[in-house]
Amino acid sequence: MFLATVVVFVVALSFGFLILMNKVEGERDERQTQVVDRAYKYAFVTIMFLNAVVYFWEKVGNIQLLSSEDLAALSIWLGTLVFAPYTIWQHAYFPVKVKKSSSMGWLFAGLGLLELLPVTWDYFESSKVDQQDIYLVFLGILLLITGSTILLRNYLDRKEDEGR
Amino acid sequence: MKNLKLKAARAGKDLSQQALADRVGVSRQTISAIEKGDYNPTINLCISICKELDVTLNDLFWK
Amino acid sequence: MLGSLFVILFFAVVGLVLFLQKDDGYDERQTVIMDRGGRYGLLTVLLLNAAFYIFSVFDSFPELSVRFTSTMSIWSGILVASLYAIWNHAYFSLKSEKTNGFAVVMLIMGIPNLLIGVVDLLGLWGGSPDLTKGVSFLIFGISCFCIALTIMLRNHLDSNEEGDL
Repeated sequence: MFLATVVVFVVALSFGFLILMNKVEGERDERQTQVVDRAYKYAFVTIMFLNAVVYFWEKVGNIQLLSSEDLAALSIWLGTLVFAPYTIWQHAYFPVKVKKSSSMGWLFAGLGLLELLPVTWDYFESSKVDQQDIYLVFLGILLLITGSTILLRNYLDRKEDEGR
Repeated sequence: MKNLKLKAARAGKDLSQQALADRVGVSRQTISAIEKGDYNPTINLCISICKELDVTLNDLFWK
Repeated sequence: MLGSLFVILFFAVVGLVLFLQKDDGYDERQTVIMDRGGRYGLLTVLLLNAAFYIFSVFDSFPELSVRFTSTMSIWSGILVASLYAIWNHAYFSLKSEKTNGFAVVMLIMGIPNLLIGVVDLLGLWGGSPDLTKGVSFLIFGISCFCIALTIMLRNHLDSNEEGDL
């Protein structure tokens, strides 16, 4: 649990650093702004769809899929999961002046794996996974996917640059 | 539709995509997307690009 | 049951309008505006969900049902995105003419839901006040009502502006 807390703290710091970096390094160009807005739209539609499914599942099938706080957390998670990889893939995640490096990708991927570690440990120790562990799994998956997308995008861009 | 005129004008000035992007204040991928025909720049960006390459709007963006 | 009927009707009307104007299309400015509307809708939904999550931590805060939170999320997001698009002339495609008719349909759907929502919230129909059901009807009614009013106001201002040209 202590390890998980430390990891969550580091993740929060990383996001804070990203936001600060975005402000310091300046804005996105017009194409990037368009891509970002489109990503926001896709995330919005995804969250709407999720909420509609959960609502109708409960109303029609009388089965409560999720509690209200789980739905809120899942909505935020899913929105971020749709937004981040799309903008990264379209070269719109980082503003124009931010130098491309894989360090951010490795950081996110590494943090993602660290989030998944405590859960795996808990599972092998007690064959039980509690709600906090599930949240850690989701956070870990999000970070892992974001980090992997950054690394893959950078790799493909380097190959393209070498090919020219 | 690909913008080969832009590519040719850029090559004529011996500028890489990154160099042109730096001069007009956009990302390299934006210049690449314009050349590939994947993005329609605003008139302001068109004018900035033309000024950097010493050409007119007609030269680069008129079909 | 009644609430579900109104919701289905809402999406049926919107779907029909979108289908009928499919060939006309939106211009690039409108597409950009709609994407930006999606951004504001998303931010609204995210803030709302963050608030629901944070409040669920406090025991003193009443437990919210899934139906309540999902309804609030859906209609708040749709309301913000729609109002932004309508105000910036990006809700309807280029050749749409019957926008006032659409506004009237929204009004017809909005007003009964507003009334039902108020009645349920105050328990005026003999039963006890039902927060979940009342707010669900209310938020849906407010969304339809606001969309209708915004369309009518926008059309009114546009016709005045065209008169000056």
